[in-house]
Amino acid sequence: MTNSDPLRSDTDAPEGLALLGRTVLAFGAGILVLFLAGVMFGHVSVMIEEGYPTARDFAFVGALALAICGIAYAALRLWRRMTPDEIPTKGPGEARTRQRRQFAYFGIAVMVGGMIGLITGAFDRGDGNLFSNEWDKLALDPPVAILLAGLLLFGFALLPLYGFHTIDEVKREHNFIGFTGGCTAVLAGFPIWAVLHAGGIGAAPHPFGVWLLAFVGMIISYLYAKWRL
Amino acid sequence: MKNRLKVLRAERDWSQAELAGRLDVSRQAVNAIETGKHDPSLPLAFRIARLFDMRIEEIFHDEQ
Repeated sequence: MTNSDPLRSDTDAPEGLALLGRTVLAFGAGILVLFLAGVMFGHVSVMIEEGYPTARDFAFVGALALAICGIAYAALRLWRRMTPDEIPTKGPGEARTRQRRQFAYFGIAVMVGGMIGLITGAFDRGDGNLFSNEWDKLALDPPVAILLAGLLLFGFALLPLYGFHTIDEVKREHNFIGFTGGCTAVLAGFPIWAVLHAGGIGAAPHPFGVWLLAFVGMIISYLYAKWRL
Repeated sequence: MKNRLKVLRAERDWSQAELAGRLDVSRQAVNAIETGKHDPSLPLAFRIARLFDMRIEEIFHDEQ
């Protein structure tokens, strides 16, 4: 425990309440950070395209970066405050090591995500967006495309797979359920979407929508597993 | 499957986090096992048994 750690005297929240608090905190902070990061990368992209960044532009981007850091730091402190017994005072220290590994893991994931967003925004010669229905309007030079493909492979495949080695069997079970939910959402969702479209209901299935099905299915299944199991 | 993990932990005056540290699992895993939401794998069950110097069947037992 360091001197800057929060007081733990008022943290005797019941297990379920603490879990709820952490879930709300994680998703609230996550959505807020993603939103601010999106605004920041969008602004940087415009700055690069226009070519004449002003001091106000730099101040705006700096303020957003500071806000992101502040939210991340506050979320971390509140996270620890919600479960007073989280950090062991005795024991061989594996829990601490795991916690550090997880923070490093999230840090790398955020960094890779930021690099993907920045590179896509800065080097796109079209008007597309990788994570939207306008992905086909992206126009990238082949080396940039290969670099992004590598980063995406790392961020969406290698890093999550490596993550399985850093978590225990309960968290692994939650992750398996999450991945199963994502897979099931696509297996069932695509044909359902296709027949609905064939019947004149809704737009035609498109790649980004199918990807979103998997992603949302995975997140919902994971949250359900974490909440109920 | 029922278990005596919570009782054994209380007897030693360990917190869930402390036990988790000794078992090299997360506190959530200890909580899930104690509340019967998760049945530990065989390697983890052996680690728990070794930690408390007991046999597995003295800690875990079938609900039947």
